[in-house]
Amino acid sequence: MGSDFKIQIARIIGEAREPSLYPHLHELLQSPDKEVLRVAIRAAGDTDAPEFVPVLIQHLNTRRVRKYARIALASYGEDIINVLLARLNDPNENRIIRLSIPKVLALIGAQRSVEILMSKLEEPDLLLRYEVLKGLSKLKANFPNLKINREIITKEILEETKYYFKTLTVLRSEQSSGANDGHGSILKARKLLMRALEERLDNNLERIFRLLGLRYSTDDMFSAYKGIVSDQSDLRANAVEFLDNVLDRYLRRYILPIVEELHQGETLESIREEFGLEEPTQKKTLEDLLLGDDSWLKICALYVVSALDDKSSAPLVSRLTEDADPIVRETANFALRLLQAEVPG
Amino acid sequence: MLTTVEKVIFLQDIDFFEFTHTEDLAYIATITQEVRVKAGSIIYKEGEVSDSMYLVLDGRVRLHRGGNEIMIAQSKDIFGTWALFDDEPRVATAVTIDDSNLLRISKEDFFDLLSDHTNITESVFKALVKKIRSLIRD
Repeated sequence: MGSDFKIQIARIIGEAREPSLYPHLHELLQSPDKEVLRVAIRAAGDTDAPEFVPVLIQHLNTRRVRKYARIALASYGEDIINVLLARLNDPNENRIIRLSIPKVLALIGAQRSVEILMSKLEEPDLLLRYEVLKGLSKLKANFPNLKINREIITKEILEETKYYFKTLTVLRSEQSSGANDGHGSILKARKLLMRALEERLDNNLERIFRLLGLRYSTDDMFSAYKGIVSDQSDLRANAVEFLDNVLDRYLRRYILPIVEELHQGETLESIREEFGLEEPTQKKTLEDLLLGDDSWLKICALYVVSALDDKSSAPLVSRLTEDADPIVRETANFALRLLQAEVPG
Repeated sequence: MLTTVEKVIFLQDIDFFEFTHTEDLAYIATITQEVRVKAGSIIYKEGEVSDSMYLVLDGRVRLHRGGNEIMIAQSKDIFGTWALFDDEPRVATAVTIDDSNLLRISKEDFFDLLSDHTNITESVFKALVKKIRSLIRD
């Protein structure tokens, strides 16, 4: 049977919605031919038959047809929202599938989509949290009648702000502990950790502005964000002035120190006191990172611990050899070997 | 064998990945293959189908076309990059001068990775555009 024929069959099944033909569509949904698979996915969406939902969700993990699987799933509308929620909430679910679900929810455009995405705003997987925010931004842009709870958004802005200052405190602690001193592997390891922390701050700032875009005008907040991260001082100044005028007083108190901190570096002390964040020692900083939720920072901290040959950290490093993340396990085993190595002589 | 984090330390100094976040470099590290090659070995020949790019961990690799030397790739240099972006045959032959350690990235694995991590796509394009701009200026 040629590809063109299979494509025609898939189209007919989708239009006919005849359950006795569905076994053939299931077969076509396994086709290695991209075009056949694409049409079969679309046809499955056209049938509205629940039996195709699991295979369509599985195709969210098939690179070549992911986009079509998202559209097909969205065509089921609110009927599949609970199935999507269950897959999104399952920590053992394939990560690529979990990351794709906010996009499907955004396409469905129901109030329940908003509620589910709002409930995932504190998701520990930062990439998933980012996808959730993008999903909410799309819902706000494409379905202006949907209600987004401003109080929850405000609370999340403050949470992200607190996280920003916490990360900034860790970065400053690393910088002040002589991150540019040392040699060879210590220097490399510390530089990697500092770069990773700076990248976390960048991502964090973007999330804050995406949240602000949900509470205020999305376009205005996007322009302000572009101004804040710009290298041009006049654009930055305009953005700060704009935020000063637009933000509610309560939010202004926390957001302005961040955007000013980015270029002045003087306000950390006062904000840290306000959030009750202590300035940690380098040892405490590394311990906190090793015990934290962020796998990548954990990996960088493990590498620093191994470079510093900090044998007192060995029990904690040993625990991480059992971590769920394979790169954390690999780095922990690497660090442990170095920490347990006898010094010759 | 390098660990993932050691590969990241190496990759972060490569121009091609200068805009790529370190966490994303870890994803790239997972698709690299370490290749040890004796001096005088041919890595690929002009006209061959291109399916991978290479990064030099240590050692030297001579790239030549029809006997004319194009460049000597050394530690932290990258070669065979175009293999990732078109289906044209190799435009040069790559031969190791010394015993060399390389990292190989296959086109298929790279594109699989890009499809799952759009931010890596963005960062790689940014680096490519920077390179093209500098070539135009020069």
